[in-house]
Amino acid sequence: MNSPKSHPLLLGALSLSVFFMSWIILTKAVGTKILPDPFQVIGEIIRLFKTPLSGRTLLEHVLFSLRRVLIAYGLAIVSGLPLGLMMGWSSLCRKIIGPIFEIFRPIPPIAWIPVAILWLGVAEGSKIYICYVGAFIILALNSFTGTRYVEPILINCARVLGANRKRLFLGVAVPAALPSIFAGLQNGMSMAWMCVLAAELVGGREGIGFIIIQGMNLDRPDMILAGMVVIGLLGALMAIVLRILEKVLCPWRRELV
Amino acid sequence: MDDYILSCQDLTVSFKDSEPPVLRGLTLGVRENEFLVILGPGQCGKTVFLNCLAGLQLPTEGAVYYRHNKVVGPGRERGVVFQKYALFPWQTVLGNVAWGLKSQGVSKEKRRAIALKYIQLVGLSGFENAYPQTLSGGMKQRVGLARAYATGPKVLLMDEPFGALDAQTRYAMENELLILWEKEKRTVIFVTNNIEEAVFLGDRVILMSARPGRIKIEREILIPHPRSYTDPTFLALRQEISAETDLAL
Amino acid sequence: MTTYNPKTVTDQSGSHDPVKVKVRHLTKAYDELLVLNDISFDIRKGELLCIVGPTGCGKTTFLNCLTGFAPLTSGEILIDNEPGNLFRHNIGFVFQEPSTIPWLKVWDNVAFGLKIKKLPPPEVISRVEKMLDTVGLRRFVDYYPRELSASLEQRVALAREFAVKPDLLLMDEPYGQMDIKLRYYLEDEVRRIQMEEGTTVAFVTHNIEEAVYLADRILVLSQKPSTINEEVAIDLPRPRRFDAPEFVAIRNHVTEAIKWW
Repeated sequence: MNSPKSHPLLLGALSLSVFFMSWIILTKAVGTKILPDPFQVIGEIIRLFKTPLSGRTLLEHVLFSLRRVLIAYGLAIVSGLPLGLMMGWSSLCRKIIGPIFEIFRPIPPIAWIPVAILWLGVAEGSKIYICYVGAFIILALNSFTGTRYVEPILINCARVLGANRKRLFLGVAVPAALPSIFAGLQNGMSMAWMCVLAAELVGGREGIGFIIIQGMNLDRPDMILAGMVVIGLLGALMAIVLRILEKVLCPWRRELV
Repeated sequence: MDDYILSCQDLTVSFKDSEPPVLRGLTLGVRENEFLVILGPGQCGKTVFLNCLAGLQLPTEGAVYYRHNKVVGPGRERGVVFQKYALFPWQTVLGNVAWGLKSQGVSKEKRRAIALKYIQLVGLSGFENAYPQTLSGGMKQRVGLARAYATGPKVLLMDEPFGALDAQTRYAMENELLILWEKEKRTVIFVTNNIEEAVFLGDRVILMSARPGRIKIEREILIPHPRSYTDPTFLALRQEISAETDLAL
Repeated sequence: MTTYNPKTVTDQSGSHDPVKVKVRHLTKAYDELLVLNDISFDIRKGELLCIVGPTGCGKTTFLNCLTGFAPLTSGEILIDNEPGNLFRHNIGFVFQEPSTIPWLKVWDNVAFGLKIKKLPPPEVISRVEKMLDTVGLRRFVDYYPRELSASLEQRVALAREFAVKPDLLLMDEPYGQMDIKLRYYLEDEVRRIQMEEGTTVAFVTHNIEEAVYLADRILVLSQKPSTINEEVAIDLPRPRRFDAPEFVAIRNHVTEAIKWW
């Protein structure tokens, strides 16, 4: 038997190779016209890097999407986090904002696309807005539940130690909610990517979503898959960045692993 | 009333009108630097009583006094050690112990110095930068003790602090608590459901009845320290208090 | 002061009770860490065996091996002369942490094991009702576990295990959170049920007084890697008194054998 430490790497490599093997076999079965094999997709990515599509290289398209996501995500953080924290902390806030929030919460961000285009046009505004809505709801919700479920004994303990209300909030509620907030940051990021794709699929002449739609229009499955792979890689990369950030900001959580 | 550092008068707490009160008509005075143990079976309202003394729970009737002042909330003269440790997981041992000092506006170097002193007193030197979840139960409660001591309260309220520890660790902690208390005398009010622990630690034991909680008997414990768990007088007193205790089924 | 001269039990063949559990050369290691080191002993049918040892000596690992939850590194454990099997042998467990089922009310929690064993409904009802009275949960039948205190919740777990009348009952520090009065009451209950049903009980505890109060025999484990330091047979008459000189002498003796502080 292998020692347990070598297992994760080994199993990871094994599962990936099984995945690619199946992909290649499937390609052989259905033909490259329908499903290009992994090498074709990689080749297409490299081609898109060099040859502009609609006047822009792959890198420029990626930067367009990335810019939209980051602006929306940033806005969602500065508005969603404080709102969620306030709602979790103050019952007055909860009572006032809660009902409105409950109505807006279940509306899928994609449902906002038509009105967003109507109000903000097909340019950047509407795309950023849709991403923002998606990330905002998730961030607000996670910071809300995080603060709401702080252990009462910790609050009591802080009161006994002489904390005033401000310190109870900043020194107990917020750090206690951090793990939940970070879960929200991760999910909010995924949601922002999901939304930017949807927005770019509907309209626009740049971005990864545009590449995918072009692939469909030109009947180029390798181009579609290339776009999908790029999204997958970008998403994974940003998730890793967030995880590193969490380790730095929540060092006590590291001890749990 | 005058001799008492902490006292309560006709303390009654009920949460629902339909149910009998949790505590009924408790009157009690605690002398300065006394080690008072509140002993009671499960569900007798011991924790509620301690929360009243801490100012975390306001009584339905009656009042708690610190010297001559009515208690209306937590105050820096009363520190608490909690049953489930209640350590801040995002703070290191040092951060936890120094936490209360920050609220008092103590400067950073001074906070550190005071915290280090109490960390050393409870025998946790070398663990200053460890996070609570890496510590064993006994060590966590040492942090709890150091943290309560650090803010310099006159009265220490302890809510079954060793209740979650195994029997052997508990014996060790009981011994260490007494050593600490001898070094830095404070008024201690120690809540427990463990008769053995009560007789080992207390100058005086108040036995509470099952719900609604009332004072059933009171015993001064005159056995000199260090006490032995298996000494005949010790066991006899334990037996005597045990016979008076309600079986809380 | 009475001093205690231990009758160290080395040869169990003198007893006429058949062996319920046979442990031979039990060794358990987690990676490099050796927890249990070549332990051999028997538990006789109908015996109440207490297992004590210093903090962190692997008592819980020991029980986990007995239950088959943790695979053995080497050695063997035989129940009724065959490898332990949760389906074939009627084994009950009570853990340190209450292990109630959160979505079932108290009554259904207690009935849980009986329903799994497909007992006829009238039998289920009568056994559950009897257990509820025994452990004093009558008032709480319609509560969910989360509405109960830790000690009440533990009693639900006790009642559930007692109700199925296991022939081997394994208990891991079940009374840690309870007050002494309640502890002695429930210890008496374990003893009574054990006598009535002829149950074999292995009871792990940190509390030496509890062990001396309950046990027919105490197994004293050493610090990790654990071996058996000593076996102490206790033939004090029952009910035992914790302040009797003979009791205190045995308690002191066992405390010495553990040598922890």
